[in-house]
Amino acid sequence: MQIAVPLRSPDEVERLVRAGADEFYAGVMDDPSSGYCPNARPMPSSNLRSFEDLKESVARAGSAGVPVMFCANAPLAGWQADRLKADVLRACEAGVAGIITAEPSMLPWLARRAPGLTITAGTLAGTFNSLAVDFLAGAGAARVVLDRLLTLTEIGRLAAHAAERGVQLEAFVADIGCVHVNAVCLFHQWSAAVSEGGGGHPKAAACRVRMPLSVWERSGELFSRRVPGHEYAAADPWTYCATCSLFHLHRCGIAVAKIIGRHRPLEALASQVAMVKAYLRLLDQGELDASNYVAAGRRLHREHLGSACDASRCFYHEVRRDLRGGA
Amino acid sequence: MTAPGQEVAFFLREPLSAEAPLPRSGRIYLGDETCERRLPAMATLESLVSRRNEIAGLTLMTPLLTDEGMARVAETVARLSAAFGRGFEVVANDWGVLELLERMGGRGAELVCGRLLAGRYMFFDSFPEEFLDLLAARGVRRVELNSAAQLRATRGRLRERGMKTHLHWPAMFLTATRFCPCDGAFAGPDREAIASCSRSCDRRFAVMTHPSGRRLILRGNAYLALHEGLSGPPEEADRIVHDDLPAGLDPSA
Repeated sequence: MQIAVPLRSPDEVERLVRAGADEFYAGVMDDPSSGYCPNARPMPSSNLRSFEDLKESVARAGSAGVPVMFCANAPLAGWQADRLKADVLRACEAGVAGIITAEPSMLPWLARRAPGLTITAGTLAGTFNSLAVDFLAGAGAARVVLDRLLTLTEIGRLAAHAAERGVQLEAFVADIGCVHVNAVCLFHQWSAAVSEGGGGHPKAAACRVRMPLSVWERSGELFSRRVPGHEYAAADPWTYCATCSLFHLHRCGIAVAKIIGRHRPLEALASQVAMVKAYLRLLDQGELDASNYVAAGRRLHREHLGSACDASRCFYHEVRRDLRGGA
Repeated sequence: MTAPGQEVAFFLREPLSAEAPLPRSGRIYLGDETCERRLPAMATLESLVSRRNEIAGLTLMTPLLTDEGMARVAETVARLSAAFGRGFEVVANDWGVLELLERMGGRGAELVCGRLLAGRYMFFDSFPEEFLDLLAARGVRRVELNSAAQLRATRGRLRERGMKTHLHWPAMFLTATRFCPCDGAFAGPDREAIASCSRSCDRRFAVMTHPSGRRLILRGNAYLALHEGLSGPPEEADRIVHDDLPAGLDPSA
């Protein structure tokens, strides 16, 4: 299993390779004032600043044998499609090993124009089932990033299917934040749009702001307000750990463990990478089984992140169950 | 409030008794946009099949699906397309449903692009032509749009491509989760909800007020935002789909 790690500057390559990165993914935002950024993190600080930076990153990572994937993984307006294609060709010239897209409709073009590269359908493609894997593979994807809200049991079934189709699967393993389905979520964009109309609501983490809420209960054919109003946030403010899930993901043949954190400080990101690398090393050495895989994760959490594992921040319910059971 | 020539459709709420009144005109929507647990029960299907002469047209709404949900959709499509034949529609909000319908080819279901797929482009003034090419290649001739603004910006191009437009009323889709907050009376996202469900969404919903003053509806695992600033459903849409929200929430009421 490979560890895919975000990259925002060529200067981060050495530190993250040392921590254990097997593969990088990076976007380029070279014209922030235009608002154009065809990837899922449209902030300058989360992206490389130019295609020269991308070329430099590819060269530095390549010297360590680590490939770089180019992120073009956000939905596009019609007028952005041609620009995205030009960017993809520039990324190919820079020497990237693959392209990540959120647009299933772009897959045939990518497969044609970027032959030999790993074409990935990113998490914003919204993949929850085997037929979606087939659809994306049929359109040209060699790899598919699974949605974060699948259970480990569901991932296991999908992995078996993908293996038959020769499709690689990628799953999130660290620092998982949002509780909503990424592929369809419009909360932030909507909130920003209505705020521009005078709401004054902060764009960042809009779904984490507590808002007045009232609950209505059905009585016969009518609904009436039964529960006194309280405040409610659509998402909770924490991120979740899925390190121990590597035990299950590794067993079912997931090819790539994705670490998110294009917003995180470099050292915090490197610590996550090192923790995941250390866990995978234990797996490769055959040292983990159902009786000790959670204990190993807890130990590595303390060693690498400097804090005790918090069961309430464990992402997958199957692992939480084992955690409570003392595995 | 329907413009001349505009189609109208109504969401049907389960459980459906054999005597329940059906809309006297207009198409019936069945299923759910965001939760596979709300796919129609077999008893509902059989009830509708037995009353098919009372139904002007039937549309199955499908959500994002796991393999388990996809199996139920396959079974449901097979049953309803056999009973209703031409004019039976399936709204796809998951790429896998496009694949399913292609594999079931020639079974009589018309494929509609759902607003979870088309809504991704809601804040743009156009769709990528590649997206429209993909839909056309799969035989899609109808697209569910997510807002009046998206409808107005894209309907011209969609019409040029021979595609009809739908808009849901009275709310647009904002987001969905599998950590459904409904069973816990909306105290917060419930991280155990993937594994359990008491279908409290049949008897409970919530209204949340955004700092901008806009109202959000929490229905089961979905967040909707009322279309505001409109006096009624836009006339430009080829079809208005009336969602099963309580009438008092209609901003035009």
